[in-house]
Amino acid sequence: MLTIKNLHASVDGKEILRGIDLTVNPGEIHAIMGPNGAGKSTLSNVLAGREGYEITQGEVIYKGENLLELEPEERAQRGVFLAFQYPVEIPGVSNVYLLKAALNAVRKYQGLEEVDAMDFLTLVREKMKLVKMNEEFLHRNVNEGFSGGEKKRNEILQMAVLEPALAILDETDSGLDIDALRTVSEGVNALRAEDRSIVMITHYQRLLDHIVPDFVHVLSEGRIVKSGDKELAKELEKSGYSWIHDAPEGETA
Amino acid sequence: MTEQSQQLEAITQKEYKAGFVTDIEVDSLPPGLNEDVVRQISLIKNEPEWMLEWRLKAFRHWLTMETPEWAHVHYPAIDYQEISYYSAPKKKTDGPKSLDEVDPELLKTYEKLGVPLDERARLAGVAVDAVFDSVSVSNTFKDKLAEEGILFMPISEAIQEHPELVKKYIGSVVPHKDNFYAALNSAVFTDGSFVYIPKGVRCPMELSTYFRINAANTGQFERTLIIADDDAYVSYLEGCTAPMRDENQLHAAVVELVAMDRAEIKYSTVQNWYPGDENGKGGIYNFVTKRAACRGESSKVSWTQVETGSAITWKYPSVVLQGDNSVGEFYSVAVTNNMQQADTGTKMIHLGKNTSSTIISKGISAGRSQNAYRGLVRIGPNAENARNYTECDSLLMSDTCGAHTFPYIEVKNPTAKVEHEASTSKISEDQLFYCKQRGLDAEDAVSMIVNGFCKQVIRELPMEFAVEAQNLLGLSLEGSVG
Amino acid sequence: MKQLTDITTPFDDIAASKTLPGQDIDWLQQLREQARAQFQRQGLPSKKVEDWKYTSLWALSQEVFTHEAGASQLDEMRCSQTALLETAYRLVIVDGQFSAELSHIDGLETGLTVQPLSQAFSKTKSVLGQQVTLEKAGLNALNTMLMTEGAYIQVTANTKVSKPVELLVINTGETDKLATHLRHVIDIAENAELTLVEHYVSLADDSVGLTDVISEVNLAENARLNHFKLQHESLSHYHVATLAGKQASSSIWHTNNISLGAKLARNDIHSQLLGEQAHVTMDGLYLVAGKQHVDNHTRIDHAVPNTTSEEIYKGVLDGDSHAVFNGKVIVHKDAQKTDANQSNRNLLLSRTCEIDTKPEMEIYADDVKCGHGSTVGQLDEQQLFFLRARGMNETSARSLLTYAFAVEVLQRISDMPIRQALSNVIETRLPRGV
Repeated sequence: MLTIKNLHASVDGKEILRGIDLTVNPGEIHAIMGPNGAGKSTLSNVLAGREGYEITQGEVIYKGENLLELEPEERAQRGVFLAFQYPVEIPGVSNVYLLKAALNAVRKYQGLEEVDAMDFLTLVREKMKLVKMNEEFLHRNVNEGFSGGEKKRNEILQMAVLEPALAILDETDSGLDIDALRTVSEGVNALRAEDRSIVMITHYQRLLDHIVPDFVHVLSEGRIVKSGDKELAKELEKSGYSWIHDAPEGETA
Repeated sequence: MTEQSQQLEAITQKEYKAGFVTDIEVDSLPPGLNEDVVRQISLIKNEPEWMLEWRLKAFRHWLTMETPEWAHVHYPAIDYQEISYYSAPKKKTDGPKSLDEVDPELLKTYEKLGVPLDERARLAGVAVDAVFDSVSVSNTFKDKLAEEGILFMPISEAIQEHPELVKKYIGSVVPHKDNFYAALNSAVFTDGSFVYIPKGVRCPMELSTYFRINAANTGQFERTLIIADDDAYVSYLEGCTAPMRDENQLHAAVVELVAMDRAEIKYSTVQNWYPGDENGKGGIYNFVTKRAACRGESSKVSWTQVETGSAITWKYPSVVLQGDNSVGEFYSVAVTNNMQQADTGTKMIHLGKNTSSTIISKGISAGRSQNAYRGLVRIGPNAENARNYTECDSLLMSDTCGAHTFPYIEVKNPTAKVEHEASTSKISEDQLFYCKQRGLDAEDAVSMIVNGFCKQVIRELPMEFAVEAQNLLGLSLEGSVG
Repeated sequence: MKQLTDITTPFDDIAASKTLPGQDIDWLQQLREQARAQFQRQGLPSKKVEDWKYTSLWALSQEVFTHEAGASQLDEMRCSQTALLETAYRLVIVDGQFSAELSHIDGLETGLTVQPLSQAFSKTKSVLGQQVTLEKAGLNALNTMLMTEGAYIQVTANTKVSKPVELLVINTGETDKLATHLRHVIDIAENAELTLVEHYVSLADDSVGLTDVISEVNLAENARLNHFKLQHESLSHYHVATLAGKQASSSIWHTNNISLGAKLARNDIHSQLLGEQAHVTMDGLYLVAGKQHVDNHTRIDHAVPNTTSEEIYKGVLDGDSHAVFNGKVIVHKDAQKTDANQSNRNLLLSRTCEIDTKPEMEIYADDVKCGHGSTVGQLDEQQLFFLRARGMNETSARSLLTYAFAVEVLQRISDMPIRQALSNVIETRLPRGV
């Protein structure tokens, strides 16, 4: 599904990612953890194609294509979905309109007909149950006036509608209380599938209690310094991130 | 230049689609302006003496006036002697009795512009008056409207058939001395629409006029007069286009609206005059005076405009709130691109008690254009409990354009509440990236965000017009579920 | 072209006949000549000039002013009572003339110069006339041709002045219809810091006079000036003032302009942000009643990238007063990352007052955050009700809310003694009756 090889990326001449290697197979859930400033958000932004990052070395192969050559929308149309850490507000554009336009953009790429309004509403209503959103949300402007929890649920709703092959969840747990975290996690779990991979980026272990990953990687200073299974996350929870600075250079399990 | 700004530039470089010229025989006056020209126009129109006298009074006053220079626009001085003040498609008979008699070239023109003049108009339920250069060429649905007592006809006809109404109201909202262009218009106006809705009548369909400037070196000076008598309602739509020409052409219209007790007038404009090319060559100078009088108590006038065309726009659709409890609204989207200049806004003059007004203005500037909002909110000493809310937002789409805000607020009554808010920002990279990450290409993403920015205004337009407006904004939002 | 057509003001003749200080300085003489020529061409601005749309100088132009003050009897005690600050360096100008006896400018700390302008013209060449253009509005020319006194203040690099400087300008009213033309030159060098109070006051309640003043400010890199102006002259007085500054990178200019007095007061306040990271705060309050007319025109030029400005002007209008506010924010081409915020709020307390407000923005760059807001209204009825439900009578409740509304403009003043002193003055001048 996704192969990242020796990825280096800089912002304003400052190297943030310093040689990331990661392979994600279909159906796998990977958690990428790390302290603030480790490069977690940079990694998700680079994968999604945000401007302002310079790739200095390495490659990212997604379904056999060089992902880094594609525009953000081309990546999205091919099934790469980023759940934003800070979903942006778009005044005057209703949620339902964005959802429909996005779904049709993806379908168009897939060579499918546009969905008509009725079928679309049926589909969206179904998906909304996943994240316990009521219909009123559809007609509100994208993220405008949403609470933190509502914004994150809205991200998962979009994921549910767009059915991506690769979902990157960037700090989806941040700013959520325990009930909202549970709702969001249930939504994500319902979307687990054999042909869908998920990369979760998070600072805290608590998300992993709800969405259990197959692999856990520790990111520090732009590199993956340790990989393991879900037990690794528990270890981190106990001892914090300070030990990683003492770990031998480039050690991976 | 960042990738984003390149994309923005590519998107904002849209072509003008209404720029073709119709090859049609015309009668016109030679360029030049003097009393004889005014007399000749009046003669061609077979006008009564009082109309000619009114024109001459305006003309003599115009001679004493100077071009206004306070607007935030720049252009070379206009030579008023270079302009032809009358141009009309050559008449085959005494004028078309029905659509069948209208020159097929003309019908084709309006068809190309998407104006429903024929059977389609009937199906669409929109009554259309079409003004080609200086004269009205077709007026559908007249008979059906007449059953309700509604008068909808070219103003030249109204002067013949209903002189008492025209005489009573013309110049009563925009006096001939009002300003330079209004005085000029009063002297040389050639046609326009006239609407009278009698007491208690709700006009059953949208009334619509399409204006088209075709002939070269011609000014268009139409005059529109709409009167809604007590308890009447009318929604009126106005659309404008012109061919692409290298020379600048002058459009100096006057629109007067009168709303009596509890009457309501909704006036919507989609203005797409030729804006000139990307270097600022050619285009229409759109110097227009539009004003409404809320004369009766609880009357209401609502102006909605989507301004995308013209090289220079100078217009301030205004409402004089005379009647107690009267309401004035102004919803505007002004888009400028390339070398366009717009100085537009409104005036809300509160005179009666408990009057209220709302101003929503959205300016979008791209290319090297200049886009200014200029507005006046005046609360007179007797306007107890007057309310105004103004919101004025600008969106910048290039680093070479300008966005300006000049609001004037004058309050002489302590019970007034006036609020004005304005903001200026550029299109957000975060919003663009978010939309793209959901699979939308740059063009659709920009369209979506711009449309969202304008939504408060677009939703005020009647449905057919909203679609046209969105297309004009470079949007493709037909069938939007939102 | 004369703007006030057919009005002949005697000012240019006075400039020709009067012996003005600094006549031995060539550049100054040239400047005065230019100013006089300009004034002869331009005269005073009429209401046809957009910037003077709501303010007429007709009445001023019809007054016959004298330019020769008699000797005043002002003693030290009265002067101290009049001053805003107890602990401050003080330069006192009485009826247009510097008073050495009343001033406290001996023993200044190192790095600080405070002198009467009449004795310091020769030092001012690099600043004087640099912040204002003679062409604008005629008043700059008027001041330049006739300026006789003022303050010259200079702070050398890296000096943080420990005490504020108060420029106390007193009209005793002993000379009827006295016109004074003052120029302050304030020059703050790199990394230096100063707190300055300009204080204009009349001692007689109904004395007629004219204060014409220009303050020119030059802020070098990383300089900081906290600049307060308090104007409470007699209700028959005319006050026309310009406050103009140029700011180098990382400089901070905090202005606060409080207008309480005068029959007609006009302030033109202008900052040019010429270096990156420069910041200006322009706050102000006008509290007017009776037949007072106050007009504040502010202008902020964001000329380079990464500059910021914030502005709150508030007004309380009572009686037949007329207030005008015009705030202009201009973001020049390429001045990206400008952050500018402006607000003007007005409280109307009487049937017959009038407010004309015009917050303007002209923006020629795209990556900016600019906003402005303007409101005109009354006291909040719910707040009034709340206070009355807590036992306060209506008059006190209204006074309290009016006071709360007004003093908000002081909230960004970090110097507590000055904030307190200004707040006390405001309290005494609040209109009571509603």
